[in-house]
Amino acid sequence: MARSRSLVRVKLGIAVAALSCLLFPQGSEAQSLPRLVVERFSMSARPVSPTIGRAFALTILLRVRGNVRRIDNVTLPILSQLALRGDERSISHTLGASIYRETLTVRAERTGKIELAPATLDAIDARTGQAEQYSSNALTIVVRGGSVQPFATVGSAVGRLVPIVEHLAMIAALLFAAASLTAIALLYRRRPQRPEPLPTPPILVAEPVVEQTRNERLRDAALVLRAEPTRAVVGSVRVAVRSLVGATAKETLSDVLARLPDADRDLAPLLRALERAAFTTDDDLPSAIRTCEDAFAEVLP
Amino acid sequence: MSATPRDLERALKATIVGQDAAIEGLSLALIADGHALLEGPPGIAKTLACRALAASLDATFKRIQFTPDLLPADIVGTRIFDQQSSRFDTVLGPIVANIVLADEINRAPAKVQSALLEAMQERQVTIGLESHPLPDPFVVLATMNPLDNDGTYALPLAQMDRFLLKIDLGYPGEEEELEILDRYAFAQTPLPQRVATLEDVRRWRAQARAVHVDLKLHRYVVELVMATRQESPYVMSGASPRASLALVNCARARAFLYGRDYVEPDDIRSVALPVLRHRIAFTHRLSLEEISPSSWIARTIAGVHVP
Repeated sequence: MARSRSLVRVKLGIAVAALSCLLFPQGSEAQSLPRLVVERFSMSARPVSPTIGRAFALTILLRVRGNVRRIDNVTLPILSQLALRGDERSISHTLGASIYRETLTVRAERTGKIELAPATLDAIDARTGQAEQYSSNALTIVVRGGSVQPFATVGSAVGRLVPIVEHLAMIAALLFAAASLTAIALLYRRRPQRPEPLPTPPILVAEPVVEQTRNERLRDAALVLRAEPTRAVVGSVRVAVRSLVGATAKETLSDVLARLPDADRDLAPLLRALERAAFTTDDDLPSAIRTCEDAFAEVLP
Repeated sequence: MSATPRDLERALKATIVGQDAAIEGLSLALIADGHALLEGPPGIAKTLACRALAASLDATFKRIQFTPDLLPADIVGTRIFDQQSSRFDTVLGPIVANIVLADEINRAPAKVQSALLEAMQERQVTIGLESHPLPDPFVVLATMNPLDNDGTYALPLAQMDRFLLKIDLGYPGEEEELEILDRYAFAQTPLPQRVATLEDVRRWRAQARAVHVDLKLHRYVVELVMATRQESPYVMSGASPRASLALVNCARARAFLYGRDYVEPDDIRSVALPVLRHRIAFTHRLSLEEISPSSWIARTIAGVHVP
């Protein structure tokens, strides 16, 4: 089983690599950019009002259509007022989409407002073939003061004459500080911990509305099903293919087939195969999924 | 080579022209081990369909013409005193047959209808102190005429619920009517030859019961039935839980009829109207607004999300 699964991954890798070679031919500068369909690009901070001297997270989230293995050219905003402590990147995949997440661990060195410019991404829009620069939202961070300021000493004018006053003042200040800390400690013990404020939802930058082609969507669906041939994925793929032919949630397969446009007639065997895979017995599921894969192969060039 | 339900359908279609939906309904009732109510105007082959079904199975067939003076004993049978042996003998009524045609069931009073419906439910009749099991398979096909309502006794909803399906028969189309003339204008309507045995029917039923129904489809069935119980000025009472069971059984039978061992949403959607239409009590407002019960149910079914 493990061997067949790794074989599937290798095959998937080869398919993606071959697809990449076709999609990203070398030569011109513009064509060296990745071809992507950007669905979401945002930047957020957690917590939104960090404390001076304490590390907090800046997260850049990019959702692109299709199975993308690598995204290298996200340009971060200038972080001159923040000290960078760490940078972590990951790509995860959901049905028909890849999610790139970059988490920067930073620390503010001063209080007040810090304005961060949007993060940017240069890519070729896979649907139009045009080079585009995508931007995330800008971000304003308000850094709060952290620790109590040091206690100021009494002026030196009367220093020599009344040193005892100075010592007494110091002792009084220490006693006051100790009493304040005790009071704060007691207060916090009685009150439940306040939850951290939720981060404000990121402001999405309007992006051009572009459509993925039918075959691209079918290829995505086929890849997802091949990578994870389970009933749950069959269900998702069935929904995706049904939406491709404009089926509504209230239509059965026969409704959909009855009004299938001529251009989509070739999808009828695939729709039937997915229906079988979605509702057949567990024993029959592997065979039903193979039928779906054959049906995908029939419609994909 | 054992027969399939498709062989039966082919035999029925060779005899009855232009009633494909009704033929499928009869096949479903037979496979799902249920009874069917056939409604349609006179002269559209309701009786012929029932006779043809019995002939194609080589099953015993009895026809009971329901009239206002019919008595329960005329259906289930009675005990008659035999003078020679000086004892009472039981004479079983026409209900003891594989396929029983209850023609114009709404022309008999309630106690006669009850006698029939009790036999349908219990699958046995009791005469005196003796109970007599009915043969297996036992299918009652009752007919009703929707036009002549004078002198009829409407079936109570609780009794209608005993029928698995209500099959509405309509007039055939122009081409089909021409074909009827071509075939039968100068000849007796021939009944089909036997294409399956009663043992085949019992086997089909066992196979249909084993058809897989996904849990998502159980939920779909419940949502369809619940949709008939929603607050509506047109509905007095919605479909019962028996309707949910009937929907699942009929969907299984249909899946089997189409050669599948699993149910699809289409199976449920296809049988929903014949299973539900006689199980819902509508208010007078529906007829006042000239909405047919079937169109209200069809609209309600179409409004439910398909899994």
